[in-house]
Amino acid sequence: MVIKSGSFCYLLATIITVGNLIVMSTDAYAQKPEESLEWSIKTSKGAFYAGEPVLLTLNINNNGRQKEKIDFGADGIEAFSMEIHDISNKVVAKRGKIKRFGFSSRGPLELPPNKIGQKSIVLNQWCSTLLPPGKYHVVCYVEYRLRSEATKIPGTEPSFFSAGPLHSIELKLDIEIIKSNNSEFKKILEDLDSRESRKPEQTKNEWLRDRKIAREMIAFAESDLAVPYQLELLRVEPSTNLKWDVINSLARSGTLEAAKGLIQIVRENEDRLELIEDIKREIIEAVYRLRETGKADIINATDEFVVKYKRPVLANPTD
Amino acid sequence: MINGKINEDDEVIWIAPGGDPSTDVGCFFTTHWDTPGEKTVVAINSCGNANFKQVTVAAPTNFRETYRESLPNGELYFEYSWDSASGDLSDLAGCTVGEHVDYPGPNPYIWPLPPWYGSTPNPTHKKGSATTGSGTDTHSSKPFIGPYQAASFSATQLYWWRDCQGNYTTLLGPHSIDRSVSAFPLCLSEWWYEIEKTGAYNATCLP
Repeated sequence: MVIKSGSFCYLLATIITVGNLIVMSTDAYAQKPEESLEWSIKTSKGAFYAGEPVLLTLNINNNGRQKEKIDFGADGIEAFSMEIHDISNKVVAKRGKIKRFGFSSRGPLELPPNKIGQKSIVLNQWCSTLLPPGKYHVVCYVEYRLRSEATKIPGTEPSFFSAGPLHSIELKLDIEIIKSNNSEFKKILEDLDSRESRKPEQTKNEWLRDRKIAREMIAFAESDLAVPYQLELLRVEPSTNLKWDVINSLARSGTLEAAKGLIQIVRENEDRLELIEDIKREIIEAVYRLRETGKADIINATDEFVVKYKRPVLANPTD
Repeated sequence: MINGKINEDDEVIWIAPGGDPSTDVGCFFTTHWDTPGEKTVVAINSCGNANFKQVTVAAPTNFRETYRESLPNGELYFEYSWDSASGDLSDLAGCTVGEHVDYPGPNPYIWPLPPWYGSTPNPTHKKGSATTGSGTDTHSSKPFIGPYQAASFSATQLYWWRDCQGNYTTLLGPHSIDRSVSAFPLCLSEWWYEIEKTGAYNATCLP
């Protein structure tokens, strides 16, 4: 046992938390913090090409009198799980929570009283939209914590808190998937890519927010057409987590262009591998995954690379 | 790095102080600097025009812990904030902030087996955009596997920022992240997991 001094505080915090729960349950008339939040979900349009990234925007209205902070878990996404149902309510795509670890520059959502906060996520991160044309129901499950419900552990300096309870909410919306159209899909990707440049009417902060959303949409686009944009993202995006997602999309694309592009990124950085230290293993693994497609052109193009770079032992970060 | 444009009358349009790098194109220019602080940036372009400007080189500063919390599953959660030396976080678009964690052993680090089952890249290196001005860090465990036995290890963590020329500067740390599994008779399994970092502590019974 490495830690002894904290054990007492931990047990004390548990007792206090249980005590608070008893007090909360007897105070039946007080409004619970989660009751002052009003949730809704929308997309910018109703119809999407198969594989097109679907941006879901959650609007959360804080009707309460106090500032609130909503914790969506590590990297701001752990709280979410998704399902897509067809019109007969059969589940056609489903994914549970995505576990993330370590450092992230995405944090909780702050909500001042009487203000609406927004949280944007891309449906394709959970569920593929490569579906037959038709109408679908999207069900978004959210399990979140409220900072106002965290309990301070007595005697701790700096203040140390015990997390509050998990709350859950289910949000639904309808989308339509339409038949793929390469020229229109290309235009969508070009438009997302154009958001790399700041528009004259945008403040810098507006531009950075818009660029971040566009990059997330490109990262999860499900089309060969997205490959060059995804490869470019690996060069410019700072977030390790998003780059891992991009590499996964490239591996799933099963294209020669993705294989060549990934190898090129490693080659460009061979003299300064520390610049890609956070993604090198994932790139090598992706090249091996691309070879598993069995496509002769991919195998030929990657033969030399796999001699030099052995397949990494799978390991997941925790800190 | 600063990007700009020199007009015919030598008026400099400073487009993105602290922004992303770009190469010289026509009368557009790129200048470089080395360290944060008040600097005079001189721009000379291929068209033969020159100009200078007094700028505050953007860099993350005042990196501090703002919140610490224990989660029911035995995880430790931290929040950190930082400012921009220029006063505007959007000036940090060319910078990244991240963590570097060293484990005691080869790469990948294999957690003591049993009681854990899993491995971690060693070192672990993660980063994110510096323009957010805040970040989070979650410290979790690998899955447990029996037969349980006592084990412990420490990892060493640094928070850093990187400028657009690739230079790293430590912002906070080193911190020791200590994890252990030991006998604890109050748990049904009679074993528990503990984690501590900078005095923040959490524990949970093993399944």
